[in-house]
Amino acid sequence: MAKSIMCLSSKGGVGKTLVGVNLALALAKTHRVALIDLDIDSSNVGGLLGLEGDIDIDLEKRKMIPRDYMVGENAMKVFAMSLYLQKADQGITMPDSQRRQFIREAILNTEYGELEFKIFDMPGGTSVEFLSLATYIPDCSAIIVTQPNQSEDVNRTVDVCNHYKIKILGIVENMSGSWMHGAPVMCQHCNEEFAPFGKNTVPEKYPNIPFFGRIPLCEEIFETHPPTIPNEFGVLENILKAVQ
Amino acid sequence: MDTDILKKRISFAGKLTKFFYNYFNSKLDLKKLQETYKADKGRITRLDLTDINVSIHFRLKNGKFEILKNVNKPDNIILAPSDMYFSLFEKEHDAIIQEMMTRWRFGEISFFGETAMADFKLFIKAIKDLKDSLPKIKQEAVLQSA
Repeated sequence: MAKSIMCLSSKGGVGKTLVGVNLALALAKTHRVALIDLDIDSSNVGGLLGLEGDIDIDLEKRKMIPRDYMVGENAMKVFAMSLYLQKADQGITMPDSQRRQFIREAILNTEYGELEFKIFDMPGGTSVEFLSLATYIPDCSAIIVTQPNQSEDVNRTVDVCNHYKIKILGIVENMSGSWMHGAPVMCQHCNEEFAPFGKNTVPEKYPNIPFFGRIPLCEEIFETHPPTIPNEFGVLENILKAVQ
Repeated sequence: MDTDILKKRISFAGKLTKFFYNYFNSKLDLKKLQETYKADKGRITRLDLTDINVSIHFRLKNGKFEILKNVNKPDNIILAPSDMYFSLFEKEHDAIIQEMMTRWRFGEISFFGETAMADFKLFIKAIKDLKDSLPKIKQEAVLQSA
């Protein structure tokens, strides 16, 4: 049975997709993986991977067929609203009932084949998409992605996970400090690392939750397609150890 | 909604359904359509025209388009406003697809069922395939034919 992992935060724009895509790609080198974008309103996974075109349908089984994204010789399965719509830039204001229907079929009526990992990229917030996933895959675990000094948002996410008995694998602190040309960006005046949002604020506040590390503000991440978290930050290595 | 307008809309929904029944069964190769999309299970869809409280049950079976009554458990349910039902087939096939996708994105039509999202995708593909066979009808034509 596949391990299911969601990248979660009660706040949007913290880097869930960055972490989710990088984790899925790292796992897909040696495992059978599906990357499932449940961010219905802002479906970015297809675009980040450069996937275009249409979801096909298995006529016999009446199931949707995800797109393949090749990682070496392995085909990672990718499903996203943008692929269902064939366009990534269209607005969506869908009622919760239809979101649940879409998510139910993304999870239960899509032909992923035999998998070892399902990685879910979640929208900001912990309402209908989270609830649907927690309903259909109750043993799904979570990686919380946050920014420095966002303890209220982390507290909310932890609270929701605890209530629904979702195991928290660990926390990633994104946009934590800064990095350029292979080294921290240092302030000329105080000789400290430039950290507009702060840095390393998570570990001391959540000593009981594993800390996967921090990802500094870093241009190099977006110099590749798809965006890649540099290995030197150690974040992916820590996550991979925890999930495998 | 004003009672007279409601009555007229309910009446038109009935006439349009009858028109579709006659048109689909006489002008379209439904058997081929069923084969192409493996729609051979006779699965029943309930269309709820939510603003006028009208429900229409239909299915494709043995190459025929059937309107059904007294269905307890449809396989799929579509919620849609009556104006979409009334005006959709006035449009070209690509405009039909665009309107349906747009209304779905904006929550004006919804699809429910075990395979509703897959079926909606197939329905869109079928509209593409049927582009030259679809009726482009005006409401007056429906009223005259009824």
